[in-house]
Amino acid sequence: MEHRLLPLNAFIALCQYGDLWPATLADVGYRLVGLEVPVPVRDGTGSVVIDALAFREEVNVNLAGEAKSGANVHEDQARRYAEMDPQNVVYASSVDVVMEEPALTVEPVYVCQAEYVDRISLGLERAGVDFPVVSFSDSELRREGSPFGDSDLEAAFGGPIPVPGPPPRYVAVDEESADSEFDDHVRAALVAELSHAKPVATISVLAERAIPHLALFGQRARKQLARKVEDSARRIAEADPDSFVFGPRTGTRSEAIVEFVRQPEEADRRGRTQIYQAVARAARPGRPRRAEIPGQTAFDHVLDELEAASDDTVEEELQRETTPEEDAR
Amino acid sequence: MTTRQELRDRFVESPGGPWKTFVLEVHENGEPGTLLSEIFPGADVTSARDVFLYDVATVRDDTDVSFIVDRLSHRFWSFHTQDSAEPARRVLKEAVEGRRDLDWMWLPSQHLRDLWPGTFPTWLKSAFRGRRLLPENERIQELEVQLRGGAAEDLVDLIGRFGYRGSISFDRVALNIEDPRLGDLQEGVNRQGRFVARGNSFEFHQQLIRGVVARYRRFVELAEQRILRWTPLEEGGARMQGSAIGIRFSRQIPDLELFLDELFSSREPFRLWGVPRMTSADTAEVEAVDLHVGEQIRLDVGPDWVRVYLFKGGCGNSLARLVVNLQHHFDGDLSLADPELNEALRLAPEGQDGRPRPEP
Repeated sequence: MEHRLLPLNAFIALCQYGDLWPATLADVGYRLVGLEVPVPVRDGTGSVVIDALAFREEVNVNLAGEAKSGANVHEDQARRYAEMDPQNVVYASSVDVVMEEPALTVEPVYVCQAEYVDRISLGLERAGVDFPVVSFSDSELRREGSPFGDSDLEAAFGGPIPVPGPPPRYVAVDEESADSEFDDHVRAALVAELSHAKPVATISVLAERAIPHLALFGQRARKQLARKVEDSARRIAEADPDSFVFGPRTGTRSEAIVEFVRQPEEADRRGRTQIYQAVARAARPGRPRRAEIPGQTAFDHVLDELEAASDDTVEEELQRETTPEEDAR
Repeated sequence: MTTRQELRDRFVESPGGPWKTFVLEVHENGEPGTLLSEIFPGADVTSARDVFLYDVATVRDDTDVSFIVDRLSHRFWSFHTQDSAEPARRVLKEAVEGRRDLDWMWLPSQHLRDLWPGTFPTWLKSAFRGRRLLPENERIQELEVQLRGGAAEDLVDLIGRFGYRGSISFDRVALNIEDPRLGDLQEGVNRQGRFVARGNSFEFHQQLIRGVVARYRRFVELAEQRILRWTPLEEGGARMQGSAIGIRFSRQIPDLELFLDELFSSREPFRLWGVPRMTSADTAEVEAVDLHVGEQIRLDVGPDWVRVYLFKGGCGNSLARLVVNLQHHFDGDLSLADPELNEALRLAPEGQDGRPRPEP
């Protein structure tokens, strides 16, 4: 995953149980209620798009996460975060508020990689705002900058929290991702379609498959993403003409397609596996095949011969006649 | 046309040797009789008075194979037969491999151990086959133990306590049980949900299967609750539900390249297609396809963990198959990061391992 997308995914990970990353926000009671949520600022002069929004209904706190892909703080954006109206945040996220008290609040938090935390903190200081910053590396995450207003949250970030590696890849690509970032996703989408014995796949079908989080994006971004998927499909087909043929848009065809040259599902078991393996090999040309563990096959031959030379098989046959468990094989 | 009474009678009379029941996960879409005709081309499919029962008669390599199919347990259908196990298995294997809407049950090791409340296997086979995922210099690359007797499980546990728990993976078990109400039953089960039984109570056999299916169903359905779903918000943005599923190994992956090559080779038993992308010396990302069901599945692999993402259209049995095969081929002592899923996998609360054994 591009480093640029790590902070957004880190925030999401902290809200979700089930993964290897700690669900620190979820433990405190925060629930992820929206991603890329546009919210008008208090004076109505503009808006801010909250990268990731979590809500804790017991204390009526909206935790507005700004995921910083690099080290720069846009001062104007930071000030708009400070001016957000909690009521507008509720309208934008459609979250249900179940308690009248305490009063609704918005707590902005910046999320960044550990290497950028000093510059992010400095940028926030220059903007004249006072936000907590959650920074993370491949081994730990911690709260820096100002303390959280929610005392339970502050307690949860009382010290470094270990993590096992990078955060999960919920949002693996977006419209700003480099073209090449789409190839793995589109290739897998093509193979999924191939495994259903489809003769052809349209770009819109591939885009739905390759970008499961497509709903996250607005119309303009979706068009950009569809174009990137199309470009990727063309690249993949050109690199692997034995498997795929790219068909561009024409006067009679409103969207590009990919035709499948070989149909693995029509082959016998071995042939089918070989076709799928060939598609994988075409994706990494020049990589030598590592078919076996050195010395293992030779050793297996010794064991096979030893088995053949032993008398155990007769006993096994006798046992098969008398025990039902052998029939379970 | 078979009735449930006939099923009971034939089970007890057992003219063709032990009774076999293969449980398959079936994604029913349409009329069940039509589906069975598609699954078994050329077979004679007959519906019974009981709307959940079907008779299927087919021929495999000049051998007649017939099943009584009971779909009363939604999604997990029982294919009963008194014919020989081998041709019946072949017929079903061919069907499962050729279709996207059928799969075996993939029973985790602990599900096999806990077949019936208060009983312990009197015969078991633990078969750990790490040859494809572990290098040759690994302490234990393969471990196969077959035991018969009241202390069979004790001995396996003993091996585990000496530091080899990761090399224990239950492959099949058999019980000899008596129940004052239900009767007597000898029951053998393997990790792909194939049951072989003999006894004086078909109800007992069915109840045992029902319990196994219920535990497996819970695991699969909990996994499906973690499927990632994205719903657009009215004014822009989206809401996400679901989560990645973390698998923790009790051992480090000693050779990541070997591990990835085998896991994503498109071959049985994993049948995962993918092109791993190394992101550091000990982590990789893979956009994969589960060829069993033809759906995309995303995986991240770290030094001692794997992270799995299921997407819309995906199925919980993708996780079950992966986890069970990893138990069998890499780490019999793996666990899941999600406490609820882990409990459904290991049938024990987090921090506990297995059920307490009563004092002799």
